[in-house]
Amino acid sequence: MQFNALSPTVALIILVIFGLLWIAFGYFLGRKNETLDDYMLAGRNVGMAFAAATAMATWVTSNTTMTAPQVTYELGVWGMVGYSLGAVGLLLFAPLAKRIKYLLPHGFTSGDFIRERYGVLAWRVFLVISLFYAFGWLISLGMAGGILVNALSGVPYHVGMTFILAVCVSYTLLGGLRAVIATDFVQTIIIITGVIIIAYLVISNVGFERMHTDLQTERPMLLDLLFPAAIMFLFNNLLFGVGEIFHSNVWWSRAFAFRADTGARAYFIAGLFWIPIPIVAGFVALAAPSLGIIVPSSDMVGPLVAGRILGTTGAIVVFIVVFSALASSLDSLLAATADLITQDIYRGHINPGASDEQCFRAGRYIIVGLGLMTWILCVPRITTLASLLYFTGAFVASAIWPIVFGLYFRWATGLAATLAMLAGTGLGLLAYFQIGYYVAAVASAAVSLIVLVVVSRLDNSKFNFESLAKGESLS
Amino acid sequence: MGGFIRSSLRAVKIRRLAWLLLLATNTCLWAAENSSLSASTELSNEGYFVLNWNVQDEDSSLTLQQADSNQFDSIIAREVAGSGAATISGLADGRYHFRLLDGNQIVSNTVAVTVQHHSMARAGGFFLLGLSLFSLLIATILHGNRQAGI
Repeated sequence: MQFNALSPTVALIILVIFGLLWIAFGYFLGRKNETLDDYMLAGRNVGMAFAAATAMATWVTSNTTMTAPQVTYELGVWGMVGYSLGAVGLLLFAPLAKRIKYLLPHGFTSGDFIRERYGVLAWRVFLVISLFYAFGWLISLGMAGGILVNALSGVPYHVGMTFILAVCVSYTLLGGLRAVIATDFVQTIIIITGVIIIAYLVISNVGFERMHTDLQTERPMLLDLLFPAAIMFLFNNLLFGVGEIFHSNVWWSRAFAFRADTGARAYFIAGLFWIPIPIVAGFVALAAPSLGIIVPSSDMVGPLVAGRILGTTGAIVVFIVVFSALASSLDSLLAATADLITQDIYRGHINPGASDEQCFRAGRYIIVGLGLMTWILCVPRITTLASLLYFTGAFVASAIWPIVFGLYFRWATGLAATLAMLAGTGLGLLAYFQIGYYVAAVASAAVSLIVLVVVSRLDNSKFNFESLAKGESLS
Repeated sequence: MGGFIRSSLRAVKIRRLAWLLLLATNTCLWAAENSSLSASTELSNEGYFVLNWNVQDEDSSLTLQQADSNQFDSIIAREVAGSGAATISGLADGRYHFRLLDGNQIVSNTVAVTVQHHSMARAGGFFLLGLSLFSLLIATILHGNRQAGI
């Protein structure tokens, strides 16, 4: 029987209190925004504490708190460990952030770099990949909101999803990146505190021995270190995380927003703090068989188990933690995707002569439009969170090598980068459908690497990095 | 002629009775087996899949039985009352059979799912490919940073 740890009334009260809190915070911080730089990049002057907090909070998403348990429930111990390898993306982005800030001191988006480094064709292919990923992530976050509220309280999926989306759109709209980073700071404190409480309650409520015995009897593969699909998943998840972070404007916009001496250290610290969170979140799922919990859809396992073993108090903690995690990612993604569309689509394609004032206004409309589009795509709840998320792995992993080689080496060419992204995405999708979601990113990254190196070597042209640092076409 | 008509009428009555009996039997069978159980796949390479069924009575005490033979000699039972789906995961290679019971009465059809995990050669191949890509990525970033003087 589906057990609801919270009454619908309690769930709705929490949603309303925290929703109003975030919106009021966004309004308060938004009053300080005077220029496009303020709104999009928080004045390019974010310090260490806020920088590390926003990087970590953004990376602790519904995917960490809900997909990590799902992957553990499906792929066992390696699923849990593999998920924590997502931290590698943050750790490896640390040195890249420094290089990005140095090469593009006036940059706004990841699209700026691709356009200046590889030309218009590669830029357009990159935009398609980046926007596809952004929508995939936005939809997974919106869906996670609805699933969370439904699993813990029985409130219909569509009600929870709509409410959470509306709150995040509102405060991102009011406050821009400054509000996003400030709320992320508060949300990080809530997430870390909540995860520590949950870990303590799980350890004191569930015995390891009972869990181990039940898993060995009913779900032996979840403990098997030679579980084939889980072995394939390990580096796939690592590369997926790297692809997400290296290409996405969520992380590039922060690299531009952080102070020059802050970015690298902030990403490194955020990565280290992030590692244990999916382990704790995933571990909870292994208690499901011992507790006799029936899991209708594997992306519900985290909240279902937490609600059952932790009681009403624990469920409230879980609810607030996951709501904070969701909001901290949803706002960041809304802001960064709106920046990308404003700068690369609106100013780059539709209105090339747009002033900062026009972009400022367009950015607000784009945030509302993104929220609406996400809501429409969330309504049908077409698949599970992991399946949706890892589908985008084929796209983002194809951009890893064009970004890395493009940042450091002169020999990588625009044609090679374009073909690498197209071939990587194509073969990654083939692997997704022919084998499974746990190989799409590996296949995509491998093909992209080969194509990029081979095609670049056929062309002897060398890029001049000094043209990037001038930033003539970026403002 | 009259005898032929009488015997024909008798035959019609017997057939009608037979149809009525058959209908009554079917109705009883439907009442006993009223949940349609289905699986998201017949072959799983990961050991997980979803079972779905239609819930006829919210108050019933449904149990999902899992067995490795269609005789259901050795079973794992799970209480599933109030739910309409269950995700099963972590199964080793084999053929698994599932059915629903309400108390001691079987109330669904039996579905079978074969679990056949990917070969270790394939798993190892993707693992090594991923490890190689990761190693190359680290080497590239370190080399690039050194070259750029970061």
